[in-house]
Parts: sequence; structure tokens; C-alpha cells
Amino acid sequence: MALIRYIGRRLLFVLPQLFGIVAVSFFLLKMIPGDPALLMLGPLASQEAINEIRSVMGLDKSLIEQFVIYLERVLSGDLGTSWQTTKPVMEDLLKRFPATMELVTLSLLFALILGIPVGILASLLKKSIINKFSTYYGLLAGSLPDFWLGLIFIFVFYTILGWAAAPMGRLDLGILPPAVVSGSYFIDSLIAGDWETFNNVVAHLTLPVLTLGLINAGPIIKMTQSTMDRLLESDHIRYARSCGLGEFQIVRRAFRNSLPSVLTIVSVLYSFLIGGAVLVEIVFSWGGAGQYALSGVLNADINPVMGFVVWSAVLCLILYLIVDLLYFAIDPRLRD
Amino acid sequence: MKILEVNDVVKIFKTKGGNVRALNGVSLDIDEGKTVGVVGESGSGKTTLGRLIVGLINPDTGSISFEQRSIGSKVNIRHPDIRGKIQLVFQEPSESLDPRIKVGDSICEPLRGLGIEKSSWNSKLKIVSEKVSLAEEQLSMYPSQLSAGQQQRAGIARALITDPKLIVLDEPTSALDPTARAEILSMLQDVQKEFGVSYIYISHDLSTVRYLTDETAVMYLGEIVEFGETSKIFSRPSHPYSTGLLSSILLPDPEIVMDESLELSGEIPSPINLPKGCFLESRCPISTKECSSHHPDLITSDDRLVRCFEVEKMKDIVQPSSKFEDFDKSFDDFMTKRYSSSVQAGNN
Amino acid sequence: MKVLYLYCKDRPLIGFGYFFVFFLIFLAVFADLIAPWPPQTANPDDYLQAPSWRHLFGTDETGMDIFSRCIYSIRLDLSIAFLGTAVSAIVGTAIGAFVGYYEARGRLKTVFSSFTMRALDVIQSFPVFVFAIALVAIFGQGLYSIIAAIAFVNMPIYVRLMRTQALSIRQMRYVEAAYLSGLSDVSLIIKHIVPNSMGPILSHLSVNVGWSVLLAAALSFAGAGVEAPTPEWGSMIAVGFKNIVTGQWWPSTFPGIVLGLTVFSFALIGASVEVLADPVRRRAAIAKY
Ligand SMILES: Nc1ncnc2c1ncn2[C@@H]1O[C@H](COP(=O)(O)OP(=O)(O)OP(=O)(O)O)[C@@H](O)[C@H]1O
Ligand code: SF4
Ligand SMILES: [Mg+2]
Repeated sequence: MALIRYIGRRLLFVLPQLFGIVAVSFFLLKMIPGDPALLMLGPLASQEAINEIRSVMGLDKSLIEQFVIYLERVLSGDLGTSWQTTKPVMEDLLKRFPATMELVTLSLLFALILGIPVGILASLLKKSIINKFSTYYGLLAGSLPDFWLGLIFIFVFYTILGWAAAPMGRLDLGILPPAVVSGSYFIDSLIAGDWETFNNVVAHLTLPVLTLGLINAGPIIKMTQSTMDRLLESDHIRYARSCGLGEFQIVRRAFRNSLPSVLTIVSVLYSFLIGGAVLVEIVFSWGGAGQYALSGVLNADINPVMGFVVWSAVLCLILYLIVDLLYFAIDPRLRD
Repeated sequence: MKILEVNDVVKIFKTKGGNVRALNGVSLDIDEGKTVGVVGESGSGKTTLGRLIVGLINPDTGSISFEQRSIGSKVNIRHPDIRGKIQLVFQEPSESLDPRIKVGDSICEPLRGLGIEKSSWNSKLKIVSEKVSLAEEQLSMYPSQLSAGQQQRAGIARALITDPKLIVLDEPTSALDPTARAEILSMLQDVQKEFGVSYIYISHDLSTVRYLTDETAVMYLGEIVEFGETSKIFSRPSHPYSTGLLSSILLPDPEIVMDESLELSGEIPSPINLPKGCFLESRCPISTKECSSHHPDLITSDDRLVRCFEVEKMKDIVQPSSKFEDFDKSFDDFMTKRYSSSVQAGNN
Repeated sequence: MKVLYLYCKDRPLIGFGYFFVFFLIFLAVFADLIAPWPPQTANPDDYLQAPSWRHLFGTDETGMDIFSRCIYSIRLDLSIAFLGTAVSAIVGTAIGAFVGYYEARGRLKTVFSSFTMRALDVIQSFPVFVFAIALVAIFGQGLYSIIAAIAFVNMPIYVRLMRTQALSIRQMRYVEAAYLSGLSDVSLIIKHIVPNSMGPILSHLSVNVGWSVLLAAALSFAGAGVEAPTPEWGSMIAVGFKNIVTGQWWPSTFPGIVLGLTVFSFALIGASVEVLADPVRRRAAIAKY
């Protein structure tokens, strides 16, 4: 019951934000210098098409009316057409976002698997090398450009050692993608039970996931370490210790209590990576949503860009919603 | 002549926990050149009253007029006509000066607002800093290089530099050691003699109130429960709360034993949820049935104002010639001792 | 200065951070004297040369000297980062000071504050890099667009930092005293609130310069920033990208190393400023001297 009320209250919060997102993207669109109709259609458009879109977009109407039209369009899922692909942006994005999400999700999972144990060890073994290492690892990982690291990995593991798959997309050329269920090849090939495809998918995922995972493990290590440090010093853990609780139990308890802050940092990284993974996508020719938007930027094709902006903002909203619900599940204090 | 009239002000703070009723209809007048003390336990609304008077917060209802001129949201304290005439000295000396600005510049800051030419700032600064005995080299130091007492002197100098008519002193000495405290009090007295400024002196410390003020307002939970001449209230308090306060907060001479029946006991009600009857009912040793159902008004009783149904009974219990007269006398001895030797008082 | 020396004595890595940044600035200023080759002149005879004494970091596919280009990049990348950070810090601090000072102070002022904060929430719900790219798309590619984009995406942090500071400092007695003496809101904010809030802002600044270098390079790498042949680390990495698969690692590797070291140095400086700006932690850090 409390959960439902909590979700209700939280959803109420989402609506104005959604509205704000659309408003900002509308505002951004309006800031573009030049004729918007021309930008919508691209330089190849005919005069009639331009006139038509002008009246469809209501460019002759007042700003508020235009905004309402825009709002209606966006909410009904119409993000315009890309003149490069000549397809509706919505359709393009639906195809490309799963690629991005797959990459980002797996990378963060890898970062967590790496980061949490290292963070805990660094916190427990104050004087050890691992402690020193983790302090500077965070700073270093935050400083290395991920796209550059990706290139280095390609050079080492593909060009020199020949271990990794070619950095040319999500599958080898000869292999057909699995039947679309989620859009993620990783999941879909598992569902299809197609091991050959699955192996190929994993081979292609390895380097980009390694790149993003290693970079993003930095903040996770730092966060785990600092919250564990704080918690192990806290009164109730000291109390537990004085009650004779075993060291393992204590660490487990402290870790459980540090989950909310780890969750926070993961959500921040996730929302950053939805857009930020684009560079690694480029390096590995991943064909994700970010790359699609970027080619829009480079070719004055504005609809894909705005579509991507709205999509990723909405995805972040959903992400934060999920995170808040997870907090609710983790932290009993919030339930009252 | 009345310099300030506070008329039935109410202040309610809206907080997450509920509405805190900090002031529930307070009226107070002050004459030119006089000092009114405001005493009461922590949370009784003394600071709120002071901040209201200087205009840092606005009353919800009620009015304040200064020199017969109503001040409020339209003509507030920052209005050029009034600016600088009312000043405030804060309880926290270390917080009252900007740590990044030299002390002398902080003292001169109010002059900018008055539009006084920069060329005359130095002479004014010299006058006030001499008044508060700050040495010249201290004026070019930063606040952290001064002691708490010196910081408070600077705070007072900043208040004095605009030639105010009224200074609200909110516990100006509570953060200071006894020596500094005594020095500042006697300095305040000198200043008053010289400039004829009025003070509102807010304090926990009854001994200093007794020493400095002409009239005293005793506050409890956002109300004045007793108001009158200081010497009269201290020699014969008429409200059970004043009596309790005088006996519990400071008994300078341990040989004087208070009548136990007059001690206050029990919890202070929350200002969010005030009782319907007399606010003191839960703690009052002489309360009656009426006290829990009706709220007493502030009425004139002989030489003062008292908010209590049982004033007459109090007159019988507390005899003017009895303990409080002694109390008063030993009190004066104590003051002289304390301020001449500057020894830390035992219970403070 | 002395405190800094003492602090770095035990922490050679942090000392390296300060050294490296000064070294970069030195290189940038004297680039004309130090760089052995012109940064933008293609030399077809020296096409894709591996590192050698003649070309310390090798040459790229048009025969330009990578070492010289790396040095000249410092000018551009640091200028973009410094400018972008400065603009966002100044504008963000100003907005944040008013937001904090006006919060819950009269109807109009409160509306202004809440509106600004909600607007920030919305802006921050756009992923940083996406937003930066969108801004470049809108302003059109070019140096000023990058600076504007960097300034814009960094601004919310300064607004929030400053707001928190203003909220606590406006309660200080000296601010109330200044208010009572009739100082206007603007001069009160300039004279008292901003100077007393600089600690956290300063420590964020140096970290932020590092991020901004990274963001500028990333935008250029993506093709939405500085374009080749202008020497810039990100676009140099992009140019070398094709060659890496065929084994010519140097055109991308060297600019990446310099870029990474630069960002790392600013992060190290930021970490030390964080400690040194806090009097308690500063004392603890150099306690043994
Ligand atoms: N800004 C505020 N917001 C909410 N409540 C407040 C605020 N200022 C004061 N109060 C409340 O109003 C009541 C009166 O406070 P006030 O500071 O005036 O008391 P005081 O007599 O000065 O106490 P003290 O002797 O401790 O200084 C208290 O209950 C306090 O909690
Ligand atoms: S009115 Fe009643 S409760 Fe209140 S002070 Fe007087 S006797 Fe006590
Ligand atoms: Mg107070």
C-alpha cells in the first residue's frame, strides 16, 4: 500500500519533468538559426514540401500554438523524419536504442563486478597496495578518454594479438541477427538458443564493454570505498562489532547499508552513458542511437538529434524512477 | 517620549513539524534614552521579538511604530528615513563580522547605506572605536585576529556609527567571559549616558538585566507575562513564572532559600501546540481550574502588568519585605563583587 | 605556497600534477620555439612515419609531425577549457547566489528561485554529452559553439554549489547586518555572499577544467568540435583512428596520452585543493610538520 502511494507520488513528479523536457527541446529547436522547415527537410527539399511542412508545423502561428502542436506530436510518438535515412526518427531510434542500452548495461555490470570488490577490499585493507591503487585508479580512470582507450584495446587485442573480433559492429558480416524480441542481440540470441550467434555477439561486445567498464569502475570503486569507510566507522557497526558479530557479518551489513550510494552513482553513470557511449560506439562502429544522432549533427539533419535528445532524457527519467523504487526496496526507512 | 511602540504583534513560523507560534500578541513601549530588558527561558521568543523590531522579519499581524511612524513592509527599516536609526547587536560576535573584511571596514559599512561621504568615514570610525575602546591597529585586522570581546566591541561600534536612537542588544554578552562582559556592560551604560540612546536588552542573565535596565518584560512562550520597573519586579515578582525564573535561574547567594512551593516543575508545552488556558498551567504551583480553561489577559496590578488570574494570591505568598528584598540586596553586593573582581560566577 | 609545498612533499603524484600543468602552460607559451615542425603543414614525403629522432611522435597520414601538433594543441584545448569553465563558473555562481539568496524571501523572489531550480532539474535530466552535442548542432559547428556548450553543461553544478553556500551564508549575522544597513541585494551578494563562498567553487574549478578538456576533445573526436587540420588532441585521435587497425598506432596514441595526463593532472590538483581549502583537513594533512 505504502509502495503504491509512493509510486503515485513519484509519478506525479514525473509529469512536470516530462513537460519540461519537451519544452526545453522545443526551445532548443527554436534557437536554431535559419528556416526550420528547411532544416526539417534537409537541403534537398522542394519548395512545395517546404511550404507544406511550414503549414503542418504551424510556423505561421503563434509561439504557444506551435508549442502545443509540437507537444502533441512528440507525445504521440512523432519525432519527424530523418532526411538521411528517409524514415521516421521514432522507427530508427527504436532499432538503435537497444544496441546502445545493451552496451551500456553490460558495461556497467562489468564495472560493478570489478568495482565493488575492489572498493570493499580497499576499505578493509587500509594499508595495502590495493588501497593506494584504488585511490589513484579513480582519478586516472576519470581522466582517460574512453574513445582513446578503445582504440588502444583494438590495437593490442585485435591488430597485434588477433584475439578480439573485428571492431566493425555488433556481429560478423556473415552472421544473421537473431529474431527481434528485445532488440538486444545478447538477449535475443539467448532466447533463440542460437549459440553460434551468441558467441559472436559476445566476441564483439568484449572490447567495448571492457573499455567502458574499466573507465566507469573508477567512480564505483571510489563510492564503494568511501561509503564503506564511513559505515565501518559508524556507531551501529561499532555496536555490532562490540556485540561480537563476526567480521564477515559486519562487512556484509556495512555493504548492505552502502548499497543506496552505490545505486546513486550507478544511476548517474547510466544516464551519462546513454549519451556518452557514443564515442565508444563510433570506435567500434556499433550503430547505436548516439551514433545516429551524431550523424544528424554532422549532416544538418536535426530531427534525429532532437529525437535522440528527447528519448535519452525520457530514458533517464525512467531510470531515476526505477532507482527511486529500488531505494524504496533497499531502505526500510523510506517506507514510512 | 515614546520612541518605539510594539502593538500586539503575532509571529508564526511555518515549519515541517507544524506552525510554531513564536510570538502570540506582544506589546511593548520604550521611552527615549531608557533601557527595557527582555528575559525568559530559551524559546520564549526573545530573539524573534528583537528581529521583528529591527525589521529582519515581518509580523504576521500587529504593528510596530518608531518615532510615531508605523514601520512595516512598505516603510521598513531599510527605508532611507529610518535607516541607521535602529540597530542590532548580535548574540554571536564571531559571526557578526565578515571574516574576509577588515574590522574597520565592517564598522563603516552602514555609512555607505546612509550616503555619507567617504572622506568623513575615518573621523567617525575614530570616534566610535574610541568609544568602544578598540585600538587603531585592531581596525586594520581581520575578525579572526580579535578576541570574542573585541569582536563584540566592533559589532557595537558598527551599531553606534550611524548615531542610532535605539539599539536592540540580543544577548550581547552571553558568549563572553566575565571580564569582557563587565567591561561591555559598563561601556554600554556610558554610551547611553552620552548619546541618550535607548536599548532593548535581551538576556538570559538576570544579573545583567538587573544591572542595566529600567524596565523588564518577562516572556514565556511568546507572551509577556509580567512587565514593570526592573527594581520592582526583582524585589517582588508578581507572576508565578517570574518568581520561578528568579529563583531557579540565578540564586547568587546560596543562603537565601526559596520557598519550594514556588518552584516551577514539569515540561514546557510545545510552541506548535499551545494549551488553551494559561500557558503556564502545566508547570504552575498555584494553578486553579480556571487556568486550564481560560487564557489570562495582561492586566494592570498596582505598579505593573501581570498575566495571571491569581495575582492577589501571589501578593500574599510573596511579601515585598521578605525574601526578595534580601535577594535584591545580596544581588547588589554580588554585582559589585562580580564586576570588581571579575571572578567567574558559580552558577551561570 | 608553503602549505602547498609541505602537502606535496609527501604526495609526489600531486606534486606531479602541479608540475605537469605548469609544464603544459610553458610549452603552450613557447610552442613556436619548442615545436620542431610547423603544426599544420603537410609533408607528403614523411607520410605515416613511425616515431624517430626526426619525428619524435611520428607523423600522421598527411605527414604532419605529431609531436609538434601535440604541443600546439595545448593552446587550443586549454583555452577552450579555461574559457568554458570560466564562463560557466561566473554565470553559474551569479545565478546560484541569487537563487540561494532569494529562496523563501517574498513571493516573486521565491518564484524566481524555484523556477530556476526546476529548470536546472530538467536541463540536468538530459545526459551531458547529448546536450553538448545538441547545442553544437544548434549553434553550428565552431570554436564558440564548443565553448558555449561546455559552459552550458557545466553551469548547473556551479548554480547548485553556490546556492547551497548562499543559503547558509545569508543566515550569517554579518549578512543580516549589511542588509539592515541598507545595502542593495546586488552589492550584498557581491560584497559578502560570493567572497565567502569561494572554497567549494575553487576546488570544483580545477577538476572542472580537466573535464572540460576531455569534453572538448570528445566533441572534436566525434566531429562536432574542432576540425582537422587544426591541431587538437581529440581530432588528432580521430584522424589516427583509421590507421590503428592497420598497425600504425602512433597518430592516436600520443595525443591520447598527453590528453589523459592533462586531465589527470587537473584532477590531482582538484583533489589537493579540496583538502587545502578546508582548514581542518589542511591542518590534518600537514600535521606532522
Ligand atoms: N526561523 C524560524 N523558523 C522556525 N521556528 C523558529 C524560527 N525562529 C525561531 N523559531 C522558534 O520560535 C520560538 C522562539 O524562538 P526565539 O529564538 O525567539 O527564542 P529565544 O527566546 O530567543 O530563545 P534563546 O534564549 O534560546 O535565544 C522557538 O520555539 C523557535 O524554535
Ligand atoms: S493564570 Fe493560573 S496557571 Fe497561569 S500563572 Fe496564573 S495561576 Fe498559574
Ligand atoms: Mg535568542
